[in-house]
Amino acid sequence: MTAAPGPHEPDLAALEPEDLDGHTIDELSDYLDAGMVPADPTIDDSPACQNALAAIMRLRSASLGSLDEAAKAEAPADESWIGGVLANISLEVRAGRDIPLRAAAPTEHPVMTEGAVRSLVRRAGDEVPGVVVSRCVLDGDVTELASPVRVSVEIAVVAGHRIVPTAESVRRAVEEMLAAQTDLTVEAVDVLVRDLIAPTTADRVATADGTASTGTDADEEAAR
Amino acid sequence: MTDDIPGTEPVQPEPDLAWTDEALLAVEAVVLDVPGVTDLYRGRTSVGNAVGSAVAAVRRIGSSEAAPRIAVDGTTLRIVIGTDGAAPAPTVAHAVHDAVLAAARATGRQPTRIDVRVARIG
Repeated sequence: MTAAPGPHEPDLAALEPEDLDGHTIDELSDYLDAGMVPADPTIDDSPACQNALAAIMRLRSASLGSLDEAAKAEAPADESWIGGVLANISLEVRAGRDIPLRAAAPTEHPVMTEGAVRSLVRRAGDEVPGVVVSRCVLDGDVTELASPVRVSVEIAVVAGHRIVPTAESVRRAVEEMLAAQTDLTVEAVDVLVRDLIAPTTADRVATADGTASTGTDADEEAAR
Repeated sequence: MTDDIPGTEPVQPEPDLAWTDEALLAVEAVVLDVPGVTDLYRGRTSVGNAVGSAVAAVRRIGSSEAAPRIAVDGTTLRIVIGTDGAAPAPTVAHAVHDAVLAAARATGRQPTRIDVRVARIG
């Protein structure tokens, strides 16, 4: 499974603490490991950190341990696929650009942070069974209310899940989430399946109810 | 034009009531009462990224911090919120604006602009 991060993907070592309101992704992972106690208000009260923690928790719970198996077989975390995903999370949760919402009064200036929207996209994808979102990008001038925006979502699919329907589920989930929660003019949602995650024994049991295909079937499907 | 004609100087409007910490804390309570709002983060008074350092942001439950998180820039109020992910974020942001404007006017203040920034959803 899991190719190493591509050349366009960020390097964990290149991230600055400012990306996460003064914290690093390692610190957030340690904080999760410690059960988030004692409470650290600089993490608990940072929207960027909260978006990152939610994404890390979903990443950890994904695929019933498949990622743990993958991690064991791979290079150290900062070089691995998982490390690349964590690095992407760090970059995506930064506040970024202000994305305007429609105002109904002259005194009203509502916006949404780009980090909030990217976290929304990631959550929508992660909630599709058998999917881990590895990267998401908003292409277009999101700072203009009616400007068309193209959303790119790169995902990994746990082997055993049918790739095309799964990718389509991600596309639909992201589209619906953005329609409900933002005022973006979404021109398209592109889903790119970049990786297959090898299933663990537990995964095979979990997908043996007939709702998912075999790994072989999945592999044979076109990725897009 | 810089003509100074005696007796025609523009009448200066009454200065708006200054925002005190107490008044801002009262508005914060109004924000946190808006359905769908789960968090209120600290905004910055400078133009630009109002999220930045959220060190002093406070959650709905369990906060005893007294410093206001709503920033004031002249007659502009800057508010940074998190929403529950169930209610549409634009609807929540709009409701926050309306609630804050009503609360401000009820105390004799007239904000000319209310920035509501959604920094986290769900």
